[in-house]
Amino acid sequence: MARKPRSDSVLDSLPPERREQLVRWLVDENLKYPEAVVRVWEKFGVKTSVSALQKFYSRRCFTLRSSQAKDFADLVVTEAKKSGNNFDSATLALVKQRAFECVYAGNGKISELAILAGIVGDSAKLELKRQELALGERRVAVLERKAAMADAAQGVVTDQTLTEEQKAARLREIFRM
Amino acid sequence: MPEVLTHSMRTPRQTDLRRALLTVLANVPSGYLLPTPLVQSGAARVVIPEPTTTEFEGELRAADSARLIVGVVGEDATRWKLTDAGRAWLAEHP
Repeated sequence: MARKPRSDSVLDSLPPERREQLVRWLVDENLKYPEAVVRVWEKFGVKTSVSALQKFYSRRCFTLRSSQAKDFADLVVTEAKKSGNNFDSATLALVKQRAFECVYAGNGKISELAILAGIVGDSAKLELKRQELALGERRVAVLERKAAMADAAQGVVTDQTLTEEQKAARLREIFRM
Repeated sequence: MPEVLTHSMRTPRQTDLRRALLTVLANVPSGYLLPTPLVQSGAARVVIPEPTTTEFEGELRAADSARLIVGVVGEDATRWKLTDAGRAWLAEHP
């Protein structure tokens, strides 16, 4: 008899674009696992669990964050070396480490890096800008979703036709409680 | 008689937390370090319920004392990397 696949291996066997989407939800949006369980079901029609998502995060997200951060740090150092300035190895090591942290944290402090470095070439500056814009767009999307939820909740609260129980049920539904 | 936890005995949660923070550091590429806040936010993603700062700092100190991780103290934060002993611990506690 065929064994039922483990729910965490179900996540690993998602098509690459869906896997990438899931990683973005977990890493960029910092989506909480209970919310991710619901979203994976709604968007992908796949049943999963908090512990499966946790394992998925351990296997996929740490590695991805690290490799993206390392790629960017390498690019910054390459550009710094090409810039014609003779930066000593200690400065380059500092810039490299900071570049790594900026991307790893994804905390929008990338512009700080440009100030710190003051050395990067045009292509690295463009990459910095691109990362900053992408981060900004993702934040706007999250804020828009939250605003829509707040509007819906406001509508429920002011709806005179609903009982208190119905209002509570609708609010739980909106906020997926 | 109720079981009493001594210093050498570790709870399953402490082990989970140690595994989480070592896993975060195990994924950091060679030549890079990770500052404490990023280790903490990473560990918080794989330990449920999310560890408190006190729990996290306690485990960080314990892992440091056990030479599983090594820290470099900077002006703004201490930055960490995994030691060979830390890698061995992770291999023994997958």
